[in-house]
Amino acid sequence: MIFKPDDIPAQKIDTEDFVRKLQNLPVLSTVVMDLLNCVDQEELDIATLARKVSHDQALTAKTLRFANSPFFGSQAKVTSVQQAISMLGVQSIRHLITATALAGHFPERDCPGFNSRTFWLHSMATAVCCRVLAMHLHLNQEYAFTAGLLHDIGRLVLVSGYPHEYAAVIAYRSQVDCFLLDAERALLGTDHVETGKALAKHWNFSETIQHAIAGHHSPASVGNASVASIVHVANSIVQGLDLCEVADDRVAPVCQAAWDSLGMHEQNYAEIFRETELQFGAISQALTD
Amino acid sequence: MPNHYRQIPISAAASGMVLSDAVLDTKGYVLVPKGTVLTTAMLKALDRHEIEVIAVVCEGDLTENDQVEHIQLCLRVEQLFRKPSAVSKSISLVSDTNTSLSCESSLTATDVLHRYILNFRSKDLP
Repeated sequence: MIFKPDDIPAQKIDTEDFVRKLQNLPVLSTVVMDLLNCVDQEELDIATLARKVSHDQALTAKTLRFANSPFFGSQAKVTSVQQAISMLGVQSIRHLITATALAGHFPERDCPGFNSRTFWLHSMATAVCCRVLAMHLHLNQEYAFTAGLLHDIGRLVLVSGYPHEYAAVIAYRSQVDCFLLDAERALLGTDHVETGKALAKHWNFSETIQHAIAGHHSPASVGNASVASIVHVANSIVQGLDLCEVADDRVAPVCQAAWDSLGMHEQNYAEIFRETELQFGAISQALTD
Repeated sequence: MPNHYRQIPISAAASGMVLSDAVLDTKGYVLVPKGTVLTTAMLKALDRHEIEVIAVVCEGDLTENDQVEHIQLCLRVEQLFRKPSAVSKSISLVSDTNTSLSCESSLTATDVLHRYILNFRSKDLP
């Protein structure tokens, strides 16, 4: 049997209630804000990074784990991983630390069907792909990486604020096999783009990142769209490459204007696919070690 | 089993592969001799010389397992790019029509990406 939206017991999200929930989210620590706001600082080295991070105990523990991973060690045995490290650089690892810290700001709630590991894998895969795309387009790779990492953050707002309602969205999506975005709108009356925009504003993310979050499903709607377009295309690429191996995943349609604005050919994309797979492999290895 | 060669685009070449034939420039001079083990630096240099395709040694024929795996990979790409069902299309109409995924996006760019990924998954085949 197929449900129509009206048959689903989920409740629409009340805007006032949502704003209140947003206010109750913990404020980001100064360290995390610092890390987020220095994306264009090229010279940040491991020592500076470590100094910043050492002001936050929880982050220190996580960073040590990163530092002990094959990412930084000379014991790395796999040649392809070593190549990936040099491609990835300190900057991206800094963002990974940021992501881990951000994840800690959302209370773990029981939301059947939501897999937070898969969520972060998709975010990181998108981030990596954004970075590779930006490199080929000679655009700022760090903005692209950060935007890719944070593009779906509105989903965490929904999952942590409305776990019951969001579980219904997930169940509905798999029942009807529609896009998650459409299921969110049909059941909740809002979607992860709207909640992500609100959160990005609440947490004072830079304007570029705010635009990228707001425009990752409709990059044409947010004015100067280069980063939003990159995130939009990267999102579909990582789904098409099946990097997160979600059984019922489905590639989000690619907006023609965004695709055309990147202006690349098949050979560019073949390289981008390969580099994305290689770098993502290195990251997921470092994360699961 | 004798060694075979296959022609691959330079983008699909990786360090460690062995050239089955010399790479020549447009004037017929040898850039890299036959039997050379490719390195990353060499691949970059070939790219600079606008070499598009090279021939590399491949060991033996595709096994049955390789073929089955390839078919599975391609089927998976088809599954990931499956078209929306009639019901899910109606859901898109229920949600905001101005920005809905199905309405806002053209299928053309998605189809091109679909083809690129399918070709990418098939590139290791002869």
